[in-house]
Amino acid sequence: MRPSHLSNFVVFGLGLLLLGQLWYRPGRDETSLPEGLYPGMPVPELDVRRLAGSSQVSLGHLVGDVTACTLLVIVRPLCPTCARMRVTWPSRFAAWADSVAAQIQPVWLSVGGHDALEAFVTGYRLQEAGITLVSVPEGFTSATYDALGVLGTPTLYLVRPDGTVVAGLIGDRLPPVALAAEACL
Amino acid sequence: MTRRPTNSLYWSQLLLMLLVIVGCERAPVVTTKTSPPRLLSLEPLATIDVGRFFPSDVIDVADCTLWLVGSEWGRLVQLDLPSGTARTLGRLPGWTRNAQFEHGPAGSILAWSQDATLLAWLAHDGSLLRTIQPPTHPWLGPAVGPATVLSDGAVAVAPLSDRPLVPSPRPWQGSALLWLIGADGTASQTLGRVPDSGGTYLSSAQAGLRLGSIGDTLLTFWLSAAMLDRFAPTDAVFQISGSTRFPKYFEARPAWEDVWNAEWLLNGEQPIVYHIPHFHDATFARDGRLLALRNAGVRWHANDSPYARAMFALPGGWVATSRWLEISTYRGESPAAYRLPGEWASKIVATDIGMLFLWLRDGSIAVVRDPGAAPRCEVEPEIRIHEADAPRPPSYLDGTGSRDPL
Repeated sequence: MRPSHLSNFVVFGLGLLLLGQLWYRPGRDETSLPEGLYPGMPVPELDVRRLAGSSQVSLGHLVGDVTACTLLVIVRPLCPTCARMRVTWPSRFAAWADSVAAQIQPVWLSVGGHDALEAFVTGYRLQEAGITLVSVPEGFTSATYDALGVLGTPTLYLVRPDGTVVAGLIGDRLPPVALAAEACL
Repeated sequence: MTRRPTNSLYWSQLLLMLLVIVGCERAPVVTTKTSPPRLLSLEPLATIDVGRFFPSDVIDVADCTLWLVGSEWGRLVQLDLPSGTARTLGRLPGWTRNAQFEHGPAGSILAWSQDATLLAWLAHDGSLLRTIQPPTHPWLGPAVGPATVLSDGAVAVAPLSDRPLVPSPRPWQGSALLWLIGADGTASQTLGRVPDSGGTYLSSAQAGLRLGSIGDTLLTFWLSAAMLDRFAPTDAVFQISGSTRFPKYFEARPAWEDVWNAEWLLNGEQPIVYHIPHFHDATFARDGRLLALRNAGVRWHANDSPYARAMFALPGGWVATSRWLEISTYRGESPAAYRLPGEWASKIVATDIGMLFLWLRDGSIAVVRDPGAAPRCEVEPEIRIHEADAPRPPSYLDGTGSRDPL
């Protein structure tokens, strides 16, 4: 093949590549997005381990076999917002729960494994503040992210005593007081 | 073999194709336009380890005495610089998060927060003098933003500033950028226009302003446009009296937005505005000098998370790789650039005691000498805040636990 033919071939190939680039707008791949926990759906049955005592428990049992509502907060040890929440969240939650005037148990579920959660909370006395700390023993898999609809951390769900979701939020926020009062009183 | 002219034509086409393909890649382009200035050094005076206090602002209330306000619960701490001792004064009345301070007449202090719907005048002992109700914003409702106090006691407020996720105005909603509220608390005038950048969220991303005043002149500094405007009163009506455009050291792709909706979440709409302003933060000293933290180097950080790629057309964001401090007069004259401690700061506060306060990456606050004024007191070189920002300091915030940098 003469050099000019080779050049022809290369330029033709690159031209096709260019057309492909212009035609294909890179971006959303809808099929890989998780479907989250819509209001009314039950919290999935995941095996989680409590930090206190290391006992294994089902997440559905933890939040759905109780007399109070649950605020399930999904945190990631490396997330800066979650790191700051170790200091600011307990008092803000307490003030919010006072406003709701209902009994609400706070549960933090870490996407990291048991050891990562332990390192994350050491020195912050979150359990003394009444927060139940749990993790999926080996850390979240993509299936866990999908099951809980976690696109970013922190993500939280307000859960009724029967284990069904009232509402979910993303970010360092708390559900509207009126919504929580209606669901939990 | 003789070289045929067609070969060079083919190779030129090849090169052109490659350039076009590179241009079609998703990473936005950053170009450098101006060479950086020579950076001068700042003289460090002290470091404040804020512990678990996380102040959102600091202000000098008397020689060598500062107030720091907690960013979460609005707890006020008074810090004596020579001894480095701090004590809690109480909580700001009425609101909690992200309170900021401005000096007012006769030693009073104006407090404002974007998480509140009121501004408050405080006495120098921290007690509440009175509140100011800003006008109801046409699309935000009751809203407060960066504020400054003019010589006659009037207050200027920019409610849209630093609210990147606020939808842009609709044509029928008006587009005032600034409000002037007279000393009697009634709104007297609107100023400026929110930039119309199209999109749903783009306008307010470019409405980042810092306000200041000198005499009866109102000063505004646009962070994204690198523009200093001066407004002077003519027959009691403020009109623009001059502008200074600062040099730009990079040119990035214009702001754009990406909005995705997670239907199962209450706050399901997840908008991202991709924008990097030329200045990250700025403040005006009481002598009118502008002190501004410039984003000197920026790059695009691509996010390869499969979820981010599935949610957003262009996953990633701008990252500022270095900053420096620029100080100029209120007319933008005589600019000088200074190297920051650790080449980084996220917030700057100027004081009347010859010291600047810089929020550093590790959460501490650096106290440096103001290049334009001599320090008016001694300062303890290592200061530790042991107070906690909480509604009532509870036992689990008693400072005995470990703390790692956030």
